[in-house]
Amino acid sequence: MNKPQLDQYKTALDEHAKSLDGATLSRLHQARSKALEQPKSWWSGIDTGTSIGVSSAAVISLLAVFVWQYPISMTEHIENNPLIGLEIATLNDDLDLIEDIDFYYWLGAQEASTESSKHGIQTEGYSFGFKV
Amino acid sequence: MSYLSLSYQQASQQVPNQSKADTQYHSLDSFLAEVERRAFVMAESATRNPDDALDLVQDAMLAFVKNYAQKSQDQWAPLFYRVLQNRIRDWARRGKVRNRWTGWLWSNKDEDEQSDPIQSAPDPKGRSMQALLDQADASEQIVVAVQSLPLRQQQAFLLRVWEGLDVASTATAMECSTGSVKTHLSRALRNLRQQLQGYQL
Repeated sequence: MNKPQLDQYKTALDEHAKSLDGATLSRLHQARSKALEQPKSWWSGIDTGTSIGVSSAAVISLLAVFVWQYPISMTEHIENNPLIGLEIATLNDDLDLIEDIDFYYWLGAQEASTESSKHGIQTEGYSFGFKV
Repeated sequence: MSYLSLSYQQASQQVPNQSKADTQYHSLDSFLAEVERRAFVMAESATRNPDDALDLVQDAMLAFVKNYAQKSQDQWAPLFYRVLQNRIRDWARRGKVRNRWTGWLWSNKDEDEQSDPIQSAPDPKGRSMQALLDQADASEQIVVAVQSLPLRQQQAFLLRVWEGLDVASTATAMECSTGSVKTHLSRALRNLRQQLQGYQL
């Protein structure tokens, strides 16, 4: 295909684009305005950086507070229950297992409940004996 | 540092930022104003429906401004047409699905040679493609012939020949390889030549 023929095609399409009716042009103008009406932060790139920075800082702060608070609360728990700390210190288990502090809470709770139930049976026993 | 000096600093930073935003707004407005007619003709050529074409152009403008406005201006044209051609292809796919549900039977031809449901859809006024070509003057004949091309050929022709994008940018806009662009374009030109052979242009 030769160049004059391609130019003829382009000219025909240009003429067609220029001859669009008023209603179509008006709707195109509206479409353009609507697109540009979007929040400026989407296209200006000015507020985007700021908002990303602020959001990141907030997330990092939250994480830092969480990470900071979590070990403190665990330590406090051990400090308030010195027997747990002592028990952990005297165990020869794996460090990984020792670090699984929840397990020791559970173990402590189980032992406490066993103790109390034993106590309860004895009481019942006494009471039973008392009745007899 | 006093409150006043801080305020002054903030204000002095805002002024260039504001002017930068205004400049970008005007650049975007000018760009979209420049391409909107051609975008509409492209969408109308594919859909043959002015309302659908306007919807596609509007969607493309919204998505372009939202996603690509911060790119450098020399990238705007291929990116805008990429968004537009994506919308057009989605529109065509939805048409295909509709047609399948209504019992459309597809042959196993190459995608480019397949009978395009959009192109073979009947004219709203009941005129055949040949009748439209016969009635049209030279310019209109070309427009009608372009509208009758299969979608991918039409996209390659309009982007490469009319819009003047280079092969790489056309490939970006069409989301295909440069080799595919050349193939589609060559088929489009062959089809146009065949269709317009008997007409005085």
